[in-house]
Amino acid sequence: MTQQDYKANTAVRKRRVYMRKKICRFCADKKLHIDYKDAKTLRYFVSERGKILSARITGVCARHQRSLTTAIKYARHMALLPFTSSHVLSD
Amino acid sequence: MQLKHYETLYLMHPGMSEEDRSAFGGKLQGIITQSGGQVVVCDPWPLQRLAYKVRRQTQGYYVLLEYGAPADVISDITRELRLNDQVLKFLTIKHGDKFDAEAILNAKQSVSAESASPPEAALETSSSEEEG
Repeated sequence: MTQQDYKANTAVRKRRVYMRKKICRFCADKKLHIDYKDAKTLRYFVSERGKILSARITGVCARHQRSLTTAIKYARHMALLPFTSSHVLSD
Repeated sequence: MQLKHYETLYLMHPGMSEEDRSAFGGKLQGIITQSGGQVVVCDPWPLQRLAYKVRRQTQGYYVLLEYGAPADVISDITRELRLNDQVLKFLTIKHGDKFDAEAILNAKQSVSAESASPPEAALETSSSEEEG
């Protein structure tokens, strides 16, 4: 096996490892609604720093990601979610 | 006038007494009903921790109002919420141009019944969380 072949092989293998099909939670379960008041659920879509996670990471479809983004922003405005971790109350 | 479906969530100062809070809630509801609107849900939440400090307060009382009202009432409600010092935050959202009180109540009931009954649904959501 030449070095080039080896490289090509690993590239293919690597891609396969990361190609796991993610399912949009909100499409899979129609009862699940995106609600800005439900801070507990929204926390799954926010990083530890309080940033909104990309759909690529969470697997949410584009349509639901859009409504999720607005919901998170509403929740931040109402002090249900933090804007950033540095503002989080420490006591 | 045609009623539209709105929802208002507002945050009140933690130092407020229960009477004051309910009085203010009554005032808002009065504004809505006087103009021909209808309040479907009035849900005061218990004292809750905030995600960040708002006017030096770390806690507050949220109140959720869901109602049908003509569009021009919203400015009155917004003014009322702005003028009151005890209101720390508020947010009004339009859910739709059509207002059907019964449909809203039915939807609420079905949601609460679902969340109360099936343990399998809870399992489902937890497994999909792991995936994400």
